[in-house]
Amino acid sequence: MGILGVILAVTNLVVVVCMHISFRQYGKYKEHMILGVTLSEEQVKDDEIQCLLEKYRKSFRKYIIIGYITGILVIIPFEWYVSIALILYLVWMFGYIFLIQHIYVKYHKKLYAIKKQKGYTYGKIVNEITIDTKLSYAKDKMPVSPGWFLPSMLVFLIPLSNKGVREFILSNLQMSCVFIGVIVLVKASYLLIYYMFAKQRSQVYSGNSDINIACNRVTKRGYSIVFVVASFFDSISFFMLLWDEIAMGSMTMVGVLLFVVMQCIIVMGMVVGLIQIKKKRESILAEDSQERVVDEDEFWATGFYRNPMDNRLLVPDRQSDMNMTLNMAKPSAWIWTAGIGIGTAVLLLWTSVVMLRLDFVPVTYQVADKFEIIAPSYSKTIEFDEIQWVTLLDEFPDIKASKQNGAATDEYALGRFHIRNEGTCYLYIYHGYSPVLELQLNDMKIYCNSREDGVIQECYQQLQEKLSE
Amino acid sequence: MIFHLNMSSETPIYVQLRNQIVLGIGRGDLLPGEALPTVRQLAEDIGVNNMTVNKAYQILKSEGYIEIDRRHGAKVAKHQKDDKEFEVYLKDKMELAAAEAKAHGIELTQFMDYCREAFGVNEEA
Repeated sequence: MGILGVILAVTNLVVVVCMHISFRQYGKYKEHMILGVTLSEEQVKDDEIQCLLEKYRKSFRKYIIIGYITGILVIIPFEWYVSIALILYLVWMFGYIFLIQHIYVKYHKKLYAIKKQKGYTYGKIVNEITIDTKLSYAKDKMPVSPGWFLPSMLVFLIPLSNKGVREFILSNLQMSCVFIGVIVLVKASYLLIYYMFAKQRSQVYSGNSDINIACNRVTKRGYSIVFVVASFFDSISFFMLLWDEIAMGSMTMVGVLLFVVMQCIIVMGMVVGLIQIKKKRESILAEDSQERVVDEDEFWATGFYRNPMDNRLLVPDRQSDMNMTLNMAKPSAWIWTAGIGIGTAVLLLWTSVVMLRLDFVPVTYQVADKFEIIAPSYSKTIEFDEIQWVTLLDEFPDIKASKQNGAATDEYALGRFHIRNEGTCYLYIYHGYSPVLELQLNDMKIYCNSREDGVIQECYQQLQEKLSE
Repeated sequence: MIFHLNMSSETPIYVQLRNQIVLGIGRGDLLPGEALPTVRQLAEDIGVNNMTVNKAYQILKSEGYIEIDRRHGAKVAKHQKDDKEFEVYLKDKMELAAAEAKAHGIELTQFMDYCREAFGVNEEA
């Protein structure tokens, strides 16, 4: 199945586990809400509501089991074609998330309709913003200092003290820059999320300011600690991946697996942290006599937030305040939704086309006034005076090449690679096919073969003729 | 102090904010010397521009309800202004309120009851 297949299988399972935990919570009565509808405990005991909740739980259980099974089955085509498997994987991922969300919204709407029809009311219907001056005054001291993110950034300076690491980075500058860029982007994302949560509106849960401060402190401090810890372990996982790359010359199956497992633990840890924070907040509110029950159902009637009186574009999701959602009453929310949707679709389509071409368009060779290698995404033209010598090998030599800008699967290796102690090389290799043409250029080597018999031998002869002229 | 702002009201947010803080001081929900949130903190929580909160704070400062210190931020003024200008302002407001009450047929005793209630006094002294 290969590294990619294992990564995708584990990712699928994590997606289903996260959806399982989150959407099961939505079907439980918490913080005066069930399935996103504000109701009292007594109102929830209504027969019609109980019947609907039972239907939701049944339907949800069925689709979660389907998720676990299909999440694994969808990876099977990796045995044959990576491109088709990747396309299937993406369709599965988006389709499954959409399906589970659709089930939730469907039952949420039904429950809201029952509430309306029965005239149930609970809590204060708000069309105003509530401010607690003591709470707003204390908000800056609630999250832990952003300085706690420093260790997760400094972790990367440790390997730089090693001479071998510095040399590796300099000799693989392009790949190292991409790697460092990804790390910087991930760390910046953690910091951005931290600031978004630190600055978001303080929540007034009660008529008692002390309770409000305690609840908001638990939430904001808890989330900031979750982000700091997650960022640190994320750095450790990247550190291990980097170390694997440097020590072994290229990423190994074990290294990548460790990275994926670590990332999964981080995601699961964040979900567990979120649940603990919610529980702690509930225990504080349980002792409060002035708890403020707010009914905002009208703004969430469609399953999405739509409040024209709220100036904010990004608001915390009412089910899970670790999620952010858009206020669809603002025109910019539609622009963002369309932009992200279209952008993602274009990106997925482009990726699919590239992957399909790699799997199904064969590499061809042309010897005319230049030597041309016509390959999907990685074509190359070589002048004859660049070639020092050519030779025909029985098989691809036993060398360890790490990918720099190319595609490598169990079936083929195409594009630019790096060979330790030798430097850059270009590979146009289909594994298990022979012979292999080796070209020594002024500054690099090129290895080519073909799935068709005789193509490489003919190419070799033509090149020999051209070089002897 | 906990207060509410109506985002769909025709009264501008800065005016609502100014009135709520004055009401809080009058009712004793905000005590003299009590710290108020900074302009940024309040703007983040209301979901408006810093300028809106700043405008309300500047009005409150000019009216003597709050004090703004560069280092310590905004605080409820320890001593409220006791000037002639305010007396004139209050008389004008009371005259208008009394005229409106009369026009609506409200008796003096009822009007006085409303005044006592607004002052937080339930029984005649």
